[in-house]
Amino acid sequence: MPDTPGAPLLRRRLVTDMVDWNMVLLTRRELSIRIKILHVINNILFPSIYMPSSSLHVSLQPSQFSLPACTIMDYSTLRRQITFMKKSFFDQGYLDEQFNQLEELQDESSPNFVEEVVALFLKDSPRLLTNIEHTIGKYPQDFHRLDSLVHQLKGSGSSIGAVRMKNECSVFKAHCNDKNLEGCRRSLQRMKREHATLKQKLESYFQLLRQVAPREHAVNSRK
Amino acid sequence: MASNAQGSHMKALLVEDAAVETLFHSAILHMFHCETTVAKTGKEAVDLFLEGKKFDIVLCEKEMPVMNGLEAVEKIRAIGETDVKIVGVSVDCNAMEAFMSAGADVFVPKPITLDVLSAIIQEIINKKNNAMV
Repeated sequence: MPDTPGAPLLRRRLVTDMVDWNMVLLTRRELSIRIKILHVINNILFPSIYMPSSSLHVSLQPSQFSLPACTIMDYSTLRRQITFMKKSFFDQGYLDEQFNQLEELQDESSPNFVEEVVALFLKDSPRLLTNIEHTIGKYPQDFHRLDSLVHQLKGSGSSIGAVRMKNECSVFKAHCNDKNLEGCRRSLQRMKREHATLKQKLESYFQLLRQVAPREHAVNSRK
Repeated sequence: MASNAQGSHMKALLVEDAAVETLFHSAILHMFHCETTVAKTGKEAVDLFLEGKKFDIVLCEKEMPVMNGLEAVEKIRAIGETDVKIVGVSVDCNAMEAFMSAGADVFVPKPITLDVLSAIIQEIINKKNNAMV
């Protein structure tokens, strides 16, 4: 049966959507519905559609709501998605060359080094943001303390290559120098938004990486 | 790049209170085969020298509680530790003058890169080798 018009584009979108679904926390019911939709599209609308041999084999564990490792997407497609995602972080200015420096420090003795450093930053930085917010709210204003707190945040952010966070910290420090409390408040709100966006992106990135990690570990151990 | 400084087995003192930067800089120093000690305040760093500990290189952050990096560098030099290579590090690029005035040998803005640290470590190795000749 020949392809219907637009089938190749729809096939690509379907594969892309499956990757997007990997990044979204799905309830068991939502996952079941989406799998049924995929079956319908595959069997009725596009009988020639390419589905990886490992597709649609999903094993759900009761305590987990995210898609388990390396199931729906085949490995090479997943790898491409990871590369594309990382490139987008650089292109959109979320990360800079420092992130590559972290990857250079990752080796067999520290296979999860990058994720460990990033996880430490994502764990530590909310505390700093909260402390900054509390200090802004205090009277009399303590700009020296504010400067010290944002200095820490800037240092940690720059260590993982979080360039937008780092730049916003510089803006905040300038407001501290000028004793501009309102400027500090506005800058803090931007810092919090940047932090939330960065957190979401990096967590999605490492979630994908973890899905290829078992296979890569098996390949490396055979070398 | 790192291979030039391999086998250095130098003793490094990392003076840093932030967890993320401690993890990152420790990994860099480990890559260059440095035996690394971490001090979380300037006071801890000075105390190590007062206890007679010897280091080939000190990476010292500027902003720390109890005693900041600038004061620590001054005190380390004041107790006669003039040979140790002290590298002032800070995300504040304006800290260079203050660190050099305190007695640091060099200032490196954060984050330190592998290339920059490699060059510093190689310089220390060369100096040690020349001293042995």
